[in-house]
Amino acid sequence: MVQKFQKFSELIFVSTFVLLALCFFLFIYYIAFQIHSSLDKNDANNKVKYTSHILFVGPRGDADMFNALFDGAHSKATEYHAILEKLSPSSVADERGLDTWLNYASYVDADGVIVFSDDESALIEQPMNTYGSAIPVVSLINTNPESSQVVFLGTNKYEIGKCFAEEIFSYEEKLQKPVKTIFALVNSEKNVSAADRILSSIQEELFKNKQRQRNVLVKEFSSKGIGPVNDEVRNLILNLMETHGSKLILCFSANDTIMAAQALIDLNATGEIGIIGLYENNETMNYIEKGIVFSVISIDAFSMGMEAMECLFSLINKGHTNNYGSADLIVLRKEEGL
Amino acid sequence: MKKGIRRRLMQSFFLASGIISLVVIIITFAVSSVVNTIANSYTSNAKLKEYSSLLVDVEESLEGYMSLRTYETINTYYTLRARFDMRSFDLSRYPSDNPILQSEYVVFQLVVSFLQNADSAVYAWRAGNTTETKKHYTHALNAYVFLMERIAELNDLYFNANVQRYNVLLEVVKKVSLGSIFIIMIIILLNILLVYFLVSTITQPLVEISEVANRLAERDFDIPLFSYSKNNEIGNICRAFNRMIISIREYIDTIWEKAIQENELREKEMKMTALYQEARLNALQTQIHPHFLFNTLNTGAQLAMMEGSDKTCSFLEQVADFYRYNLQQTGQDVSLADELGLIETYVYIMKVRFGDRFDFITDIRYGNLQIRIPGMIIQPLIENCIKHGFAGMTKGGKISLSVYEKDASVYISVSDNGCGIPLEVRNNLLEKTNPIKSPANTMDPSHGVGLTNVISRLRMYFKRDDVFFIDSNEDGGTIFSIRIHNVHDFIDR
Repeated sequence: MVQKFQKFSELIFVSTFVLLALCFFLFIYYIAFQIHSSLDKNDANNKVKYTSHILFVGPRGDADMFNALFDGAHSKATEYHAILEKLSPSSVADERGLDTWLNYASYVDADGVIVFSDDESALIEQPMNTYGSAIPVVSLINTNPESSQVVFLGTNKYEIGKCFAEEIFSYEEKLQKPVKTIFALVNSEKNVSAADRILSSIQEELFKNKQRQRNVLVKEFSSKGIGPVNDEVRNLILNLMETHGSKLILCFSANDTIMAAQALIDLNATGEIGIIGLYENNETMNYIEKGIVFSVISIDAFSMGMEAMECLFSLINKGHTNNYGSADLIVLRKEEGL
Repeated sequence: MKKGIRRRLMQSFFLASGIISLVVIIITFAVSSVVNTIANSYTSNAKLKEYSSLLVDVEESLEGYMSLRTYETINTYYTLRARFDMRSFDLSRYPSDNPILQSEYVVFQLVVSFLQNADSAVYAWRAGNTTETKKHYTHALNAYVFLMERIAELNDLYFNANVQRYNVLLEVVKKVSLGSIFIIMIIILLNILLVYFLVSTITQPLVEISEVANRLAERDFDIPLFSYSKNNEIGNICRAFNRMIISIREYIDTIWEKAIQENELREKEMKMTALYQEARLNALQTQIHPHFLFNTLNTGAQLAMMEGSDKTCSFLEQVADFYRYNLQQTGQDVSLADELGLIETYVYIMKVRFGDRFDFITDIRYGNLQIRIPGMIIQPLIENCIKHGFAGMTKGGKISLSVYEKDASVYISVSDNGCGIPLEVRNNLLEKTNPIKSPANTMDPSHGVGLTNVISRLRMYFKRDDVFFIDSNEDGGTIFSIRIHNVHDFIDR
């Protein structure tokens, strides 16, 4: 019995020792794992080898469009082993000219630049890298014809005008009566020439339909300087309502559309006057949903961002691509299932 | 190898202490590593700050040279530039989706761009090329602005990452502290168990030995032997106990055998006493109330004396003496002289009764008659001769009583010239009187006091069988012989 007890005790002893050692090494492993994982979170975990550094330059305004374009481009970045760096002023104070960002592209020796400018007049000078080679640039939506960039992906202003005219007809159908006076709101600081081309296209289309007499009133406002821009837009709309009884407002940017919608809300005229805007963002979509904005003519920004990356890498890898690309227009309305 | 209790106890103590010490040391080392890691959390920020300070110095020296264009300023620029080159900072050289590495990459590119433009501006300025100087200097300054912004951004990223790491490590320290307490508690518990089992291993045999010792103390010897075979102190104790238990058992067996023998002897003695009492009773019963008879005889003797009948008076006195002897015999043994005196009285009585029918001859050739023998031994033999030996004889009977020494033994012999005893009866008498073979109450009642009673008492008194013999003599009669061995042991002193 004594020997049996001793054997049992020895078994307990060995089991205890093994258990103890196991617990202890598990604990040490736990500590090491915790330290390693804490360091791992901060250290490089760069499993994908990136070979290209692309800059995506955009404005502070129209951030939704910019983000959609960037997301589209970014979705293609991994395919090209590229890192896409978004360059956009974080505040008005931080706002820098396009040329500054292009110089930055030179300093960081970027492999390519995609530029989304809300100002058609902005001139793009193709930057040079450290070795004196030109850095490929793709500009989106708006471009200055005098720019030296190689590729432009944008919208055909004539097509946009035709689309506006069709929306005017649709609005009249909705009202079941013609709109005699149409009010076109143009920002004198940005894209005046583009607005002019769109307006001429609209008038051309309206003229084709001679059964009804319509008058398009173009009113410019300035967003430059310090002051409540909304007040100017509101006063313009109030004046036109009182003098011309206008029932439809045309806007040529997302911000203009928002200002017009806010003015109608202020004037308590949301049911009386319709708005047809250009380019969407979250707020315009909200106004469409509420019925304040009749429709918005826009593009598929995500697809355009993807196409911009394809064009840019076609330039980088092959040295050539189509110099011009036009995006398909889409019309966003409440009844079309927002 | 012999492992003593002391060594095993020391081993268990040192093992437990060693395990706890080792665990505490390793845990302390682990905690120290974590704390060191925490302490180094902000090293990257410090290094980047130092790196950016050098860049600032380089930029200021560039500004100085661009403003003054002196030997001292260009010397300062090149000195700081060389110092900056020597001060390496490990920045990522490739784009990355990791924000820190990407920022490092951008900083690296901006540093390269800044230095290239700065160097180009210095070369152009030394060469007096104002246009190139202005161009490169402007680019250098622009790059420097971006560089400082990006360094600040990188510093923020480092800081955020380090804060995160710091928090994670603090969390680790908390977990490690709790875990350490938990582990140490578990290890202490396991150590307690370990020591308990080790000490139990050592003490359990002692406990069993103690239990066995207690049972032995309570005279319980029906215990198994120890099977503990290890060659240590406990093994020695177990073996010693085993030897002791075996010795005690052997001793008990010996005592037990002796007790059985003594018990047998005691039983024999008791049986002899019972036979003697029975013989006396039988003898007295045959006389019908001996006391009454004794008193009556005394009265008769006095009457005979008053009437002047001397013979009758003498007879009655002899009879009274005979019965007095019987009544006085309360002990088991008497002296041979007393027994011979009784025989003379008895023969006198028988002579009065039977007249000349027989003669009685005594032949005493042994001087010391103080030999102790059982009482009422010889009288039944003479009675047997008269009643059975002389049956059918009217005269001519002869009874001889002799006491003599032969072969270091004393013989008491009673012989007659009667009809004798058949051999079968003799053998039957001797066999029946064997106390082992036959019970005492199976004596033949036809012999009065009974020969069987006499033989049994003799054998029991002298504790041997060869004390009584029955033989035939030359006249066809019977010789009863009592042999007393070692006569000196029975002489009354």
